Amino acid sequence: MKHTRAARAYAKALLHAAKQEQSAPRLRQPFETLQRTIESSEPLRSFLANPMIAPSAKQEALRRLLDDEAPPIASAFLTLLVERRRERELEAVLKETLRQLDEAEGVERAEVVSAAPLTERQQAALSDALTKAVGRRTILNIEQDPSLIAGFTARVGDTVYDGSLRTQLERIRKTLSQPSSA
Amino acid sequence: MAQQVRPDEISRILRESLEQFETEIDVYDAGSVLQVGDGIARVHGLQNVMAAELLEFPGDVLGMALNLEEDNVGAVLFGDSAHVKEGDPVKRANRIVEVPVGEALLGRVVNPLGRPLDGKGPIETDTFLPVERKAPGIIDRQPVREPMQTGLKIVDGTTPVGRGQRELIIGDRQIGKTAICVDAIINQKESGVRCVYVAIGQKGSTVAKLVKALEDNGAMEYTTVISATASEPAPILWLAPYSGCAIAEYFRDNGMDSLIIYDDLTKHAWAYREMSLNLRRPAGREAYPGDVFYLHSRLLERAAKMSDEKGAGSMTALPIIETQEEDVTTYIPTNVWSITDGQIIMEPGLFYGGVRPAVNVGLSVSRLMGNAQTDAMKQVSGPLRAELARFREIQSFAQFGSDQLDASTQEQLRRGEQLTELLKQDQFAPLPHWQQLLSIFAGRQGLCDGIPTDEIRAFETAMHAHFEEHEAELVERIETGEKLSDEELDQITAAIENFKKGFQAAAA
Repeated sequence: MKHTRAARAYAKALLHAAKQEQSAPRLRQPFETLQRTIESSEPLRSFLANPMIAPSAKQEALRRLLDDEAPPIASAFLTLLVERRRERELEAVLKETLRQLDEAEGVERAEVVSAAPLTERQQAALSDALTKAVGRRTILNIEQDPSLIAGFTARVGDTVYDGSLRTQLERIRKTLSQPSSA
Repeated sequence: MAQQVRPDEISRILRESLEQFETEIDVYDAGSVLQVGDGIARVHGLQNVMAAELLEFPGDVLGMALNLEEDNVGAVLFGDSAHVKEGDPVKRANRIVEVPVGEALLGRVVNPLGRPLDGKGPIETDTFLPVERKAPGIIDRQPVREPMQTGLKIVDGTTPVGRGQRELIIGDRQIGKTAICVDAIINQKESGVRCVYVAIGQKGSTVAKLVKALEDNGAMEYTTVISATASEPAPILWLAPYSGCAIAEYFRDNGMDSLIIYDDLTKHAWAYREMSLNLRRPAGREAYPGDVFYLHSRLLERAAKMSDEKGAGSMTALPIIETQEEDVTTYIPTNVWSITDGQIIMEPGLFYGGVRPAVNVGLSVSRLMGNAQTDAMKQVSGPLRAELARFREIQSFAQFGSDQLDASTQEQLRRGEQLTELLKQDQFAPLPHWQQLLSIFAGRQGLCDGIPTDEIRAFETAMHAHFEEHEAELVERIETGEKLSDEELDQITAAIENFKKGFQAAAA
């Protein structure tokens, strides 16, 4: 959490530079891949966090992890990040960059949690409904959690659309346990 | 809840609720708990949260957003923080912290969130007021002009309190600060003033005893007690005076008179200090945060006498400050001292010397003085404060032997002793205006001369009884509070002299 301020500054600078050379949209694909790779690999994380490893080694490793499609500015950026010894904040920077990209493109991410798997039609309907509610194109990020019992929750930014049975049961419990004056 | 709950009723309510919920999707703003401890939670998300907005944590714990920072929100918890874990969802309640207000609150004991603590069932009112409100502006106010009788001779005679005034009561522990306030509440039985008593950080047993005393004296009917005992977390203690204030303000804003007692603001400042340090706000003098003055000034500014256009209601505040070893020069006492319109200073020396209420007349001040007294009282008690103050001064050096003192000083000493004796008063026995006036008049005019000091209080009681029985006309005249003419004063003097003869004869 404490790194968000730096992450925000780096992400902003990168996007500003990328926009000037019209390569901003092309950052998304390689950055998403990189984010997934780091997320799934504990050794890679400790490799990046280890201060004993020379920056040049880290720079080289990161450059290789980027796929070939990536615009040159991406690898230059990673080199700079390591040079400034901010490689430990790489995850936060990637996340923030993607978020700012979304914002620039008018796209919202919705974290959807559903009790049961959603069919494609349901997903499309949910995406449409959220797009209408939020006023921006919404892309779903779906996870499953059986503890919701039934229904789903969708979270766009800070706003939660809660249609889960768990919450409704909780509300019924609250209503009934309150002494009603009626 | 008292009546039996029938099974079919439950199923009916359930059915109704289910029907209602079926199509509904909850939409709310939520964040997640980053860190929790010491009654404080740091919350990630909640970008649009308002300052002082109510937050809902899991396990029915409520909180209040206080620090709105760039990437997190600092919130205080009004409940057990053991129920809140890292990563828990936090919901915005979309409303500022508010309390139920209105006539339904009278006779009740509630916590600072307005929930009943007295087991007398739910509070039935639809009116709510936000806990933090702006004090009325200049246009909406008018100068204090009516007395708020406390029923205590020494207060109403030397440091009178007016409706809409803020009078600080300050002194060490256990010397009768609360007693003065309780008497002031009991004395409002006939006056129609609604009372609110806010207990901050006191023992549960003390509050229970106080409620019992109020009930026994029939004062609970027009009183609300807000209780935040010492076992409550600091944020609850901090909130208490503001909720009490909102409850009293309802009466003020609806053309009624109210009296609120904050017992005490020292513990309130402690609670705020604890909360602020845990919120990582920078510490200042005595580790209090920088806005500890504003903490009390904004609270006490809400006491006011409203203009006639606004219904002419009033809210009188009696904040209490507890000192250590009579030291009034520490941070919090000096702050509150400078905010209020006067102070009643209590002294352990007087208390243990048997002078109760133990008010130090020389140092106690009411900046409104005459405006907070009836004309008659003003006329009779005018120089009383100065006389008593001079007496205490002389008394201190007369201790070394009074033989060499000149006659006029000896006379002053004697008169002072009489007055001191006359101004003593038992707890839970507030006196009506006319009785106070008679006692002070008798003392100042030397009408008690010749009565032994230890019999003066018996004389006083008997005199009151005598007037009630035989001088109903004069009593009625005094009760109007209007200025007394010379003839009327002569009449009163004659009546007292007359009674004194009978009293002395009976004693002999």
